[in-house]
Amino acid sequence: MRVIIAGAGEVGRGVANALRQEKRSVALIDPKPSAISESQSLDCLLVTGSVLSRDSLLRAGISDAEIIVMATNNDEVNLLACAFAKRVYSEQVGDRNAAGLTVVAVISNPNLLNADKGAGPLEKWTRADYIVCSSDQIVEQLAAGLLAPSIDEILSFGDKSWISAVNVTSQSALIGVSTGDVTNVFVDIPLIYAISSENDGGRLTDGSEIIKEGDILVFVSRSTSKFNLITKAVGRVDPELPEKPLVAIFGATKFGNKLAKHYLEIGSEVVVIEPNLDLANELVGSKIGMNKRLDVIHGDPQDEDLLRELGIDNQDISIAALNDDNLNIAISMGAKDKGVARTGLLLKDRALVEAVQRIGLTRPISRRLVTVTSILKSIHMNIPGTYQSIPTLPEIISMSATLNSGNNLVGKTVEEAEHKIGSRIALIEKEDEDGVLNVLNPSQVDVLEVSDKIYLFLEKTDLKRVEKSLEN
Amino acid sequence: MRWDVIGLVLGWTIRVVCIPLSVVGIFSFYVEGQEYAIKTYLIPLILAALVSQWFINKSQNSNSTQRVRDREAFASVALGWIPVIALGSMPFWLGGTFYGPYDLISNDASFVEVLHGLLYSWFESMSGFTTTGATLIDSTLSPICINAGQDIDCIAEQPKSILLWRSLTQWLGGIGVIMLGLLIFSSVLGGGMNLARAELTGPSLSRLGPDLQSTARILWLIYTFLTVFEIGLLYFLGDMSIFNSINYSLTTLASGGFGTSDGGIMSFDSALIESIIMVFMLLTCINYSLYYLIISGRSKDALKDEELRTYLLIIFIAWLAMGFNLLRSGNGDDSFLETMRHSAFQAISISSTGYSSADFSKWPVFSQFVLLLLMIVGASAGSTGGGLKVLRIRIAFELAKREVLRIIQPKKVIAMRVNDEVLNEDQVFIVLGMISSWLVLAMSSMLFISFMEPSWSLDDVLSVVVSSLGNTGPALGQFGPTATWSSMNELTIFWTSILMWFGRLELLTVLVLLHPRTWTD
Repeated sequence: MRVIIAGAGEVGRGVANALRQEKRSVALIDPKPSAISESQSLDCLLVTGSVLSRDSLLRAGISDAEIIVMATNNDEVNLLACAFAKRVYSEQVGDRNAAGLTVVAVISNPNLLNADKGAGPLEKWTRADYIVCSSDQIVEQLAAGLLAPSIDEILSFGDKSWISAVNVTSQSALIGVSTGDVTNVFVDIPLIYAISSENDGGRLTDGSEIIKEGDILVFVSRSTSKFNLITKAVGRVDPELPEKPLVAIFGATKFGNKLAKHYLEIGSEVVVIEPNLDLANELVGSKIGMNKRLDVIHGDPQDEDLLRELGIDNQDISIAALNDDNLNIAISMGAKDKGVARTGLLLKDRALVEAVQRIGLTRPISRRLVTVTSILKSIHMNIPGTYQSIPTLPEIISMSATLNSGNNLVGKTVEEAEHKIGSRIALIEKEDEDGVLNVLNPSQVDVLEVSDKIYLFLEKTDLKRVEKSLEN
Repeated sequence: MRWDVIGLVLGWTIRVVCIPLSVVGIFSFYVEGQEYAIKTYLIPLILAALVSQWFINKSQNSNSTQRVRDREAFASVALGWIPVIALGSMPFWLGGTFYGPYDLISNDASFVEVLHGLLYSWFESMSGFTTTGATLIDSTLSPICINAGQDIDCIAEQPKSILLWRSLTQWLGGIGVIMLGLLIFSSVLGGGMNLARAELTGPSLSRLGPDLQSTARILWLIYTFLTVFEIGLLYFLGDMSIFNSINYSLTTLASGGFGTSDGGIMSFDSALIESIIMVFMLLTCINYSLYYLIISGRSKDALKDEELRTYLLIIFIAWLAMGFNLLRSGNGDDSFLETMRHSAFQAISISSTGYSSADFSKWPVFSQFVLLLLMIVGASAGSTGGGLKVLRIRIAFELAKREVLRIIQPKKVIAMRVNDEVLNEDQVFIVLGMISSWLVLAMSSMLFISFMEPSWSLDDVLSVVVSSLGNTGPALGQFGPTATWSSMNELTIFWTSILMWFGRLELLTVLVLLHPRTWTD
């Protein structure tokens, strides 16, 4: 079955690439010949045309499609195209409700989701099965990443759990220790579920791997408070972060505003510097603008006098959230030079992330990359739960699934289940007698029961097989 | 300026005022007799009917579909009040409250005295329609009392229909005669919203209904309901006569302050009556659109209103401050409870209504100063109360705060909010314009009056100007709650009446008339 992706921009191509790795058949539709020609390297069916054209959808093979992703850079087109695609699918297949086609729409404006001030809930009227708006994940990932700058990658694992991918330095006390014995060295350290070494690539751990310098370890922690321990274990030291850090955000963009809201909620003092007076006024006039701990400054983010006046060197965190990648990099470098310990920045271009990390800026987040991950999660919603690829370990995927009564993992121990599906179970969410949900480590669980939610790591090549066994 | 538009507004406004005048005329016919009713009410009624018909005929060709321009709306509202005041003064002049043409015919008064009588009647009518509540009726100026001797209760001596008319002028002026007119002629004129905006108190008019007529209807319904409710309470609970209940309710809801005797509320000396009146004085000084919110089941939103909260806080602090000050200074023989009762009554009353339960001109300076500040601040916007309005003071305070913060952090973006809504610069400038006009007018009036009245003390001048501009009524010093304003000279009387007009229409509406551009085509 085929996946059609409307929009062959960076997001569309990223999704197409990931799906090709899963050996899925993919068709890309884009009206711009330049975008199509950039996609030539992908092994996909390329269609030049609009998603709002019956001809384009037919050429992309909508009658064979299982999923269509609307990922153009226009929110309105993406929403409108959902109903149109279902209509065309119905005409071709004769399935009146188009139940065989899953439609995913990507939007960049989170306000559209709001039921009062926007048009939400969008699923109710657009005929989209899933709406992807990754702004929350972007903010969440950036904010979590800034807590522990030494950890190379921090990703959400759902339910306030975190995946940390970190490189082992020469000072690490874990060198020479097997992955199953790390708790002997650091008592409360979270468990390691995957490892990537220079020679063997990324793989799931079975406890016997000996940790070497340069290995990438994947930990799963159930709170951000464990980040310090992970940092210490791999031989790194992060500067102290106050409970309520002082935060400078450059850009009152939708991400800047969300970040400001996030830090205000934890009690931080936040200063937002915005060069556009209209955007600055909009933030001040919004609900978070009423917060006494928020200062919105209208000025050039690169104005040295202004930054000095604002005491930028006293800030604990600086985040560049403007819509210009180059400006964000320049601002973050300036902040780093002034001694800000944690410098986060949002980038559109995925290719810049690695380069920026090499410069030494703490936490670059690619908006498009997060969006791609969010789309992939929606595509894999046949197993409802999280779906997360780990960029530093491209061979490994994390996902979650709820066990239903017919599932053949029910009644099995964690070890038996791991053996059966060939993956590592990291966490189990169980409901206790009072109906309270508890997230438990595998060691705390005897047998898996109906309606348990399991969080697991698997190798990408096993994805189809694991999905199939979880579906049953 | 399109004169036909102005003519139409004037014609209809006069016609509207004929209705209550007829009602009082009928009342007079039964109470004071045919002769008095004809000479006092019928003659002005005929005159008004003719004048209004003339205005309407003159404006027949006006294109009612054309939008009324702002300046036309403001000018016609400001001018519309003049014939209303003039018509309202007729019963006082013709009915014997002051020297009138009948006294000239019967040789009881000189021509100058009759002219003075016209001015006093004008003042009384102005004080009524603008809901100020200051009066000239006393044993030195009113022929009824001059003939009866010095020691009588001069206001109570007036014919009942005159007292009713006095109260009714306040009631009509409370929410606005033009607003009443809009109920009737909004379909005749396009752009009635501008007219309503020019007359209503406060910086903006909240639309309560889908169109202007329904907004006007809702406002008048709330106003009438509250009035009737108070009449019922005063009559059944307060044991007041029906005549007094009606009069005091009409003037309470208008935040006017006229009474039916020299002593006013003080003469009842009843905690129950004072309490009922206090509640309604407070209710009428609240933005009327909040009642609409309550009726529509959005009481929470109404109670969250920042202006309401600020207003109640101001009154509460003023009450405690005056109460404490009075107790500390050992003023009078009042007990603790009585002192607190009087300070509460005065704190609520002085912000616009102007009733008094005690002679506060004898209170310590601190309490008098608090009262003066309350007169300046006034009531809430969109209420029947006067003064600068709590909302404007709040906006001015926010502006001051913003400017201070801007000095400290020049690049900081600061939003000024009221009820969580961000104010735009235009709204702020209108408020500033109003406050600065108020200051200029108040200062120049103080200079003028202090020059005209060499014997007055500083607090006399200050409080008379503030009281007139704020439509409060009683002032301090020699113009306290037990005194009338009859000792003023004629020019001062005329000028204070003009200040009341300015105050009621919130200055800018009247100041529009002074600009030559208003009068050009």
